[in-house]
Formats: sequence, C-alpha cells, structure tokens
Amino acid sequence: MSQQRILVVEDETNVRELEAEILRGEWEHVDTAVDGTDALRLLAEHVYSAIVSDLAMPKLDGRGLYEEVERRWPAVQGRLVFVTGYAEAEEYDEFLRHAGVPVLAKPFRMADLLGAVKRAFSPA
Amino acid sequence: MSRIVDQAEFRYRELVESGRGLICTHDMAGTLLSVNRAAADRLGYLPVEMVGRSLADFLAPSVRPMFGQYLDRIAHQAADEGLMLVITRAGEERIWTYSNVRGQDGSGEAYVLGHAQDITDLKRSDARALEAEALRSVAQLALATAHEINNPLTVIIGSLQLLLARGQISPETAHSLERVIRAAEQIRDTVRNMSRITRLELSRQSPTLPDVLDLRKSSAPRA
Repeated sequence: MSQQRILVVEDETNVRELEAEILRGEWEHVDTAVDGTDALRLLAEHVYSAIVSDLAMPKLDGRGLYEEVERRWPAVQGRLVFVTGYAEAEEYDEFLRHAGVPVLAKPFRMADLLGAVKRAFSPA
Repeated sequence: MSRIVDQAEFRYRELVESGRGLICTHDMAGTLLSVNRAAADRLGYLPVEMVGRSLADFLAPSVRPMFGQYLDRIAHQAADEGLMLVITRAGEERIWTYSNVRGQDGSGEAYVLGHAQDITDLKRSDARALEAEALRSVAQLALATAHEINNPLTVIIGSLQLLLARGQISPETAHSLERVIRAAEQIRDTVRNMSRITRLELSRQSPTLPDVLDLRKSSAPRA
C-alpha cells in the first residue's frame, strides 16, 4: 500500500462508494466528498495525489471545483480526473476542451479508473 | 368597339393560357375539355395530349379510386376543394391543392372549371421542419435517459468487476459474471448511440409491431 491520498467527489452514493472501493484495493488513503463544496473542505485539510470528480453535482459542480482548485491550490490542478456520463460531457464540452483535464466516461471498467488515477499522479 | 372586345378577349385568353395558375375544365364524367399550358407543362404534356382523356389518368394510382367520390361531390354541390396527388409523365408524384367549381356552358351543359396550385415543395419543407422538431425531442429524451442510466450502469459493471477481481469465486461464477458485464456493456453502447442521434431512422421490426427507431442507423454518421 502506498502513501498516496486520493479524493473521490461524487454526489451519487452508489457510484461514490464503488469508486472508493475500487481505489481502496490499491491505495490506503481514499477520502470521499459528496459535492464540490465538500471537496474544498477536504482539500484544505489534506494534500491529494489525485482527485477523481464527477462533473454534474449540486452546490458546486466539477467546473466550479476546477476553478476553485486553480485559484487556491494551482499545483493540485494537474491531478484532477473527471468521471462523467456521456450526456454531461456534451454539456461541459467547451469547458473540458479548455481545461484539458482527463475525462473518464461512465460506465468505466475498473482498469480504466485505476489507470486514470495513476496517470494523474504524474501528469504529462 | 369590336377591336376593344377582341383585345379584352385576347388578354383574357392570355391570363388563362400563359398564367402560372393551373387551370382546366372537365365534363361531369371527368373527361378533360381544356387544359392550360401551365398545368400541362407541370405534368410533362402538351395541352392537346391531355384533352379528351380522363382527369383520373393524371392522378397518382394510389388516389385514383377516390376520383368517383370527387365526381359525385362536384355533381351535387357547386364547388369542391382539397388536395390531389397527381403523377407527371416522368412518374413523379406532385401534390396540388385544387378549388373547382361547377358551371354551365352556353348550351346549358354542366362542366367543371378547375383551378390548382402545386404545393409539393411547400409540403416537403413542412415535412422537413416536422422531422427536425421530432429529432430535437428524441435527442433531448435520449440525453436525459443516458444521464439516468449511466450511473446505475457504472455501479453494475464496476461492482461485478470488483467481485471478479477479488477472485474468491468459482470459474463458473466468474464466467457468468463476465457474461453479465458484457450484457451491461451492450446497454452502455446503446445509451451512447442514443446520445449521438443525428437523424430519425424508422425500422419496421415485424409486420405486426409498430415502427421503432433504429439506434444503430440513427446514430451512425451520415454517409
């Protein structure tokens, strides 16, 4: 088990628990947040090696989270991975092109999620 | 005085003969008595080729059986109007809107004066607008459905893969789980196709079932 800490941000309970469970198979420290606001609270407390976030969420969505991270912890911005349904990807198309954050489409295979997180540790 | 009458008659003839309106006369049995140039041109004939033939000969075969009802109506009422589907010499079907009135010639013989307009292009652009509207509705529904299906599908596929990855199951169970994952991934692909709908392709699955949207065709890039 490595010492890397990962944050999962997802409003859908089942998806959030699943992602955390998959990631806990590889890494010991996996935290979960129910939306962008909850994620900001945890980001203020810990340094994360990767942040896996949904795009469409109540309160603060993935775009809002990206902007806050850019403003407050610019070094962490390159560790973001968005996980999103195809439908939302259309809605956030322009933002995603501009942000250049890796996007994993739901539903994903386990290996895809693990691979995306590993790449986020050392962004190109 | 006679010159003025001649000029008036000439202008009147020009109005009918050279005007863009589609005009004809026929007797009470439907036999064409006269056809103006515009109407004959539209159908790909000379007026002389049409006169003496039944108006029914120039109707699309699918509507020809209704010609008798039209003749009944115009015989009992002074006028009749509606849509007619005509067929050109080249075999193209065109939609005309007609407004026909019954009259009497100098000898008291009843005949029908027909006036029509070709509205095929208008009808086709209406149909295209309707299809575009239907496409928008279907695409919106598809996106909303994709949004709702993706999360539970993520949980199904991911959880089954977790079970497989833990490896505490028999090869038979693993085989079954793989099959369920493949089926769930088929649902995923269908949902993705739904989100890419760019046109409507109706396919008839069987003569007894209603038309259904063919997602593979509808979401494929237009050739």
